[in-house]
Amino acid sequence: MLISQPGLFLTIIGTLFILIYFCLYPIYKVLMTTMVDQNGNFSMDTARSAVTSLHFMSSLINSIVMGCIVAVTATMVGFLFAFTITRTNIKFKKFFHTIALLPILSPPFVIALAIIILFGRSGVITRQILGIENNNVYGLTSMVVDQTLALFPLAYLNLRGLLEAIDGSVENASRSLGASRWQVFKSVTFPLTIPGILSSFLIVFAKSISDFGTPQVLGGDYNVLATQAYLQITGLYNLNTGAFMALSILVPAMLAFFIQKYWVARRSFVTVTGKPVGGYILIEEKHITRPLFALCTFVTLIILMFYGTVVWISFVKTWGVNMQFSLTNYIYAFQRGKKPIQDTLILSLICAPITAIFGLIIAYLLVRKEFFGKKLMEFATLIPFAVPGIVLGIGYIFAFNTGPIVLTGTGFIIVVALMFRNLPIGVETGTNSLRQIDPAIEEASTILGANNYKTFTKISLPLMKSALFSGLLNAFVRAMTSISAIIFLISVRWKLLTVSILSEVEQSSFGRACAFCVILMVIVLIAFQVLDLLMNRIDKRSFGRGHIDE
Amino acid sequence: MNKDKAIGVRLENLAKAFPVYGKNEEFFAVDHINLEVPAGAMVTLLGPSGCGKTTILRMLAGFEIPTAGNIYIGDKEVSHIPPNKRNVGMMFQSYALFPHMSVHENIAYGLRLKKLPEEEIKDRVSSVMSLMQIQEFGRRMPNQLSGGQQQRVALARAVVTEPLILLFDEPLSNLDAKLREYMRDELRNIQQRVGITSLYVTHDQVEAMAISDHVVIMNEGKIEQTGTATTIYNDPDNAFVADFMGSANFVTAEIIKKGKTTWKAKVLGEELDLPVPRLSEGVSEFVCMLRPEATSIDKKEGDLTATVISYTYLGQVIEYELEVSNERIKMIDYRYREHGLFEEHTVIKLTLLKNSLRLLPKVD
Repeated sequence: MLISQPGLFLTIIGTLFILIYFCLYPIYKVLMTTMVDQNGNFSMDTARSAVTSLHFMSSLINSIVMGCIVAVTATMVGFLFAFTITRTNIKFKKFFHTIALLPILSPPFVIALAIIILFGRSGVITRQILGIENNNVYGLTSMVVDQTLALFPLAYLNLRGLLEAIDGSVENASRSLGASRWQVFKSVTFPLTIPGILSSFLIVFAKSISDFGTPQVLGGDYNVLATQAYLQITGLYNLNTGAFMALSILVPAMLAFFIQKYWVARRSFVTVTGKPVGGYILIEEKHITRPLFALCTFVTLIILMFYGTVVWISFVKTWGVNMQFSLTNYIYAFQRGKKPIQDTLILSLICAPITAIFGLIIAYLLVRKEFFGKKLMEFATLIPFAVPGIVLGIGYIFAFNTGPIVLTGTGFIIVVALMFRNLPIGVETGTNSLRQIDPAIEEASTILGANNYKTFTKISLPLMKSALFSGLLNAFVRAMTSISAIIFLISVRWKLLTVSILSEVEQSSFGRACAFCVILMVIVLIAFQVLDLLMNRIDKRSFGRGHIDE
Repeated sequence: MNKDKAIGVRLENLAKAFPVYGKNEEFFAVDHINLEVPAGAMVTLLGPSGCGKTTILRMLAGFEIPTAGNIYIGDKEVSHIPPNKRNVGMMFQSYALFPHMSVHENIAYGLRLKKLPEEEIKDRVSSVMSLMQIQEFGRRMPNQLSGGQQQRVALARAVVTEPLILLFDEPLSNLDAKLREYMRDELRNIQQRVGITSLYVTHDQVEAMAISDHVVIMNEGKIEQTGTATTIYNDPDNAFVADFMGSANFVTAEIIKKGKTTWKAKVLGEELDLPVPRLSEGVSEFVCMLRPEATSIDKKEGDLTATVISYTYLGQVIEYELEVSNERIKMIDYRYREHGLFEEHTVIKLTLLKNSLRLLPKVD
């Protein structure tokens, strides 16, 4: 079959080659580096010295403790939002939904910054309102708060999809058999969502232990593996030990990810198709909806307070000293920060369309075509997403420092890293949207004489327009806001905004950091609007009424 | 297109095997079949779901590659030509209209791929649209059309490129009963006018009988019988065909004497001369097929005595379950208005329409 379609055959081979080279090879390099000595022989010396080093075991335990706590809290908040939005008749659902998406769309340091500003040594709340001197904000508690708010959206989206996919008549049947609201929840709704809860837990866990930005800013004495690895590499120039530490995050993170993907998901009773099934009778009882509404409002207010704080501080002259309104931080940001803003924009603008289109092509191959190496392709696309960002970053240094393609120090390596890091999201959106398109529509195009390329560009792609839109937006936002994957890849020639924010935070220039955050968020918002407009344009063009006059 | 240009289709020893999930074996969805479709004819593949009829259609279209055998369209072997090069038209069960294109663009799609001049595309699209009576919908999007209209657009799109043959994959199954009947006649009409060789897949026997020149009955990947609707209904080769086409009673037939032109058999206690069964070689036991409508009942007059076991009132007819010489049979009474309804346990008289009885090989 493939032999008769050389175009398709070449696309598959090319895609596989690219994926192996940019997704699997770097990770393989990290693995090898930590297991081989200077002479290239197998050796556990690196591992041994790393494990016996002072911080390794405590960092490992710290990472896992933090991951577990955050997984529980974020899943709980996510469930609260998902259940309240899908099953009750409360008002402002759309607003709550937007708030729940805010942390995904914003740079990684916003919440951390706000926590330091509000609760730190000279914190607005701790010092100025409560009068506490020298409050130590750095540590586990702050990180849990930060990560809970940053990661609950993942749980929310996951659980919301599941709750919407439960056939409402199941709950109604339980109701009509005499169950109270509580009994329906306890005996039907909740058991059906258990796989979703488990998978949310695992996803959040993996993300929490892989997170680099939060512990770097808020960790204090609470050492975790991600920051220790960074310290080993950038502080102590101990590349191999650093790589080993990063790799130790990879094991639990990958384990959680793949258990989630291949085990929990299979246990599900509910197939999430992406289309809400509906048919539920929404909960109206005041004694249920009011507490749920109050809890959602509480979380929302905290999020708004944090974001508000960052905006507010960005407009203050010198935080803690002179709290008058001023544009000093922005003037600084646009003068000294011009290059990172430009660079970030350029790299993200290059990255987004490639990620989105390549993601859709892979999705198309995976869903619609049968070929040898399909499983490998699926696996390879998942790897850069499943591994912690710093492992990917380290892998790219190892892989592209020498050898046939030398990329370190170029802007290209950043684009490639960001692209493959975010590729799975593009693939996932594409896959979901393709599954909803009747394959017969593509077959109809084929039998009318179109080849694979024509069918893809004229039929599949236009029909996946909304997937393309969300893929583009996602890729852009993630490219703009990511830190862990590129922290090792930046150079003098290419500076990124997130790195600038981090260095401002490390110098305690919170006002400037806040200004950078606000600029980043504004760019993301503008991108959203522009894409929206663009998509509507394209919409009118290709979906318009026939261009021939009959 | 006219009937002179039409070409036939020939399937030679065609087979398609699919791997059985989790096992190292294969399952033949189409099990080495031979079939000849005359030029310009409309042939229906009829059978229960899973009988392989759709697989045959998909092999003809090129969406499946045969495991063995040959497909000839005209004189050309096509089984390794990709679907987009085959010049075959297909109507899909879901219509598969391109939702992002207007009716006009949908129909013009295949012509545009052929890079025909815009002027010719315009002419051909508008002439096929008037043939399908959808002229006024050109600017509409598919979701602005009713089911029947979508159907016409799908057919227009399939025939406008003047394909060598036309394939129909249960195209009427998404319509409601009334519209289905109407569209069935329309499809037949248009096929006759265009004169294109067509293969039609359905599991609905009434549809198959109404629409096609020949019906091919399939079961478990094999062809059970091929023939016109009347042959298949009246002279089925075996019990499967008899049962699948309409409904049938199978009662014990005790063969008394095998003659040259007729066989004498004892059926329901009566000795009857019946036509020689077509497939009788190596068969030792036979049953007699008795169509429920090929009987009549009466209070007093009739050949056999029967007892009413149960009845179902269906308006046009009454369906009875009767017991006759220790066998249960179903019969349909069209004339209940004349003699009224017979309650359960009533003893009545039953007459068989003898020229419609057939001997068939007994299956266990």
